Amino acid sequence: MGKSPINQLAAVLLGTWLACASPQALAQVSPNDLQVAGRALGFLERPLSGDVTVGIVHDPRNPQSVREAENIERMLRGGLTVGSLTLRPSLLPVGEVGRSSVQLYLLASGVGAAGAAVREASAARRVPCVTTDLAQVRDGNCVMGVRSSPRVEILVNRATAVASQTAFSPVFRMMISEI
Amino acid sequence: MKPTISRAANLVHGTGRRGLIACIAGLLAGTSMVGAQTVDHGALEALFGEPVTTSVTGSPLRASEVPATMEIITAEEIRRSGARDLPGLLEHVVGVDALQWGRDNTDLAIRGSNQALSPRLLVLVDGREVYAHFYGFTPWPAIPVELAAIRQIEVVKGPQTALFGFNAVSGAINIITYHPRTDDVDAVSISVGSQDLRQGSAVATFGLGEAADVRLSMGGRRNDDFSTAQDSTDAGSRRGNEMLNAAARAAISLGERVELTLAATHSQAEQPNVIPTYIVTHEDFHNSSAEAALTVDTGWGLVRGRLYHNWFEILSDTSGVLGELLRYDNDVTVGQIETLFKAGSDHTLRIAGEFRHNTIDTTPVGGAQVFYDVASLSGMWHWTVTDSVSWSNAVRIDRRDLGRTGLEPLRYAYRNVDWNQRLTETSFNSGLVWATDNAGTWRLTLGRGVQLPNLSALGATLIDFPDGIGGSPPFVVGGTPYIDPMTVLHAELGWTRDLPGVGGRLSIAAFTSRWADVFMGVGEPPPGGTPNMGDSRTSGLELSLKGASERPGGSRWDWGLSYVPLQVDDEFLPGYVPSSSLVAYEQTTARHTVDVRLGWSRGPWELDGFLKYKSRFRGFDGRPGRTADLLDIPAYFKLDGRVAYRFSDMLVFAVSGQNLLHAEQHQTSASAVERGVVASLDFAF
Repeated sequence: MGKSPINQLAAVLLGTWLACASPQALAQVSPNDLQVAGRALGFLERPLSGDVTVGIVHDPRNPQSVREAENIERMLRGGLTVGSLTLRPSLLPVGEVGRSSVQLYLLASGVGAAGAAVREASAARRVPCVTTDLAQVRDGNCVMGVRSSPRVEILVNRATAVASQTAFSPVFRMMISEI
Repeated sequence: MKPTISRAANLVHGTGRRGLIACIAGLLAGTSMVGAQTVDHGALEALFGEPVTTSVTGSPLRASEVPATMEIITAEEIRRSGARDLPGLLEHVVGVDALQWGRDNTDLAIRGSNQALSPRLLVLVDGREVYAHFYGFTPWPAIPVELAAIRQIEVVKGPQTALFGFNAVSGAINIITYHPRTDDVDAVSISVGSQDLRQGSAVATFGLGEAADVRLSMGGRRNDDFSTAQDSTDAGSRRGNEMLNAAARAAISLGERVELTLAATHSQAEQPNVIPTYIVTHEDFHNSSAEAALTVDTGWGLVRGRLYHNWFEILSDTSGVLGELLRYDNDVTVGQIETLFKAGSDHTLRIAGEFRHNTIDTTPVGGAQVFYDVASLSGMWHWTVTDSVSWSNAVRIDRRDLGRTGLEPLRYAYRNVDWNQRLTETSFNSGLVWATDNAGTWRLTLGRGVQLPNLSALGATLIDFPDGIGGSPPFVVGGTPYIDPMTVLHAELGWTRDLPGVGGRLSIAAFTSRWADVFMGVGEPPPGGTPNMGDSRTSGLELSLKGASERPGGSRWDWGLSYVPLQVDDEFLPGYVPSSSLVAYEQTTARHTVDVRLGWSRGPWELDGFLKYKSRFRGFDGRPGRTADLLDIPAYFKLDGRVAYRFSDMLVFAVSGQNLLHAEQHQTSASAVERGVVASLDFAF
């Protein structure tokens, strides 16, 4: 879209409408989701460990995305320790993904097509990405999607994993869904 | 992922053997601490919120996704059971039948057709068989594992020979212990109780350097058997029951992707035992094992090689009846290699090969050996068809070569050449799982299993009657090599649905099995016949409802209700009658079994009760002069229970009881069981 005020307004309205209409936008990331994500990361071939800065990627133009990101930041504030890994949050607008130095992307919902920036940054910087927005996994913008309710589900995009050199253990891969 | 480990320093710094340990620790200190990604049950369970098992397909699956009817007993459930041994724990599992002959002598079977020295159930510890091939049974008291060392017990129902090999025909029980690298388990338990029971158990886990971890366990027990006797001839078998076992297991990281596992066990037990003639003998078990396994995470899959050896030695004192001391020396060597990998997004494959050498000396007439070698090739394919449908298929081809060497008694009906036989058998399992969104999970399974005749029936028991019996000419009895394997064809439809409203789960399974070439229990076949006496069919249901709920005030209730109706129809060939074959599953299987479980906990208090109802059935009478009569065993109720007080996370005092409803109760055709009460102090640190 162009940069005229009308187009910008249309983009905001469209983005807001998409954010509100998408089922994923209604989903709230829960502490259990974050626990599952943290545990799943323990099955990386080269696991993350110690203090890991998590970039909570969100679309600042989408209020719902911003709220979810802030909610996640509150849950991780003070650090979330899972095994030998402690996740420490950092809010990261999607436009700044390419310039950040975080060790993990946590992609909030409502980012939409802008999630492609995460895919590019993951591949360039070899930083894994996790999200509860499974559509982003199906679109190839994020390696791993997790959901803890009603039962734990994990979805991995194999092509995105290869591109970002994110490799999981064979045992883990046998137990999850891959596309 | 290596947890903080509390080290038993006194095991490292000492003299003699401990100096060797210190040396090994030094050598290993320099190697990588990151080990191969084997199946880490604990981490996977924490991730998925439910137990994970490999005991159905050989690949890791969530308990809710397995293509079989399966029960997983968790460590917490083991603790709350109040059981002091494995049979006492397992008899509470839906579909498991128990025949308790004595204080420490119980036979278990899955879905009926139980008998003395029940042969149809394969029991393993961490995938290693503890099945005694010479008589085809599980010597429960001599399984070298402490309850505190068990992570979970996986009870799989239906034939599983496609995965585990011969003899897992009604099901398999795989006892999974804690992994020394990822589970720091340290516990001591002391128990005293009725029948003059004194029992102790200890488990310790520690590290040797950065790359090796070891778990040691030891247990011992001394008690009297039940004082309720059938007749004077079995009194000689009652000399006091004893058990002692020790086990060591080490996990060593040899690099980022390679793990070596070493294990050694020894167990011995002495007690009365009811044998297939339903007489009571005195048995002295001595079992040992040694094992080495190497697992390599190749990045695309796991490759594992495993080699283990079991030494079984049993002294069976039948002097009160047969006038013989039978000594069975049975050695089993098993070599396995397997690869497990994911192909594409939706397919998991397992390819495995196995070689087994099983040999035994004849007894009481020695000088000969009976043996067989089995070469096996198996494959498994698990296909995630859609997000809600998966299909698993496993097939296994076993080739057994039978043989005999050594003494050929003059009056023996066979020569060694009669044992030169080869057979090839195929087993398979196929399971379709459909997980609907709102209508539960459906399972359709089909399977074929194969059971080999035991080594005693194949000639290991060789008895010479030089003076004949009752005026007969002299003769030699020593089994026969001409026994076909028994096979089973099985079909099952299962349905499971969570009931969030009551915090529970409803499970229903309908099954039917057709057993072909059923073995005689003991004795000689009719003229012109073989020890294969015909067919038998088992059909039934398993209905199970269980759940848990938290109440205001901190109370928690755990509850369960199950009902298993069974129908067994024997279709034996003419001439095979119960009095000669000692097999009559149609009459010796209870038609109805109901189990109720209720558990309550609040604060430091825990209370658990297990009520069982078993409908009337019949059992063989082993008393001299009445051998092979079928006795009626009335229907009965049985109650086990446990009350415990938790002083802290580390210290629990518990009182548990078995058969609480009556001081004595007939539950089999043998001696009445007695009420038993045990007080335990359990310390975990």
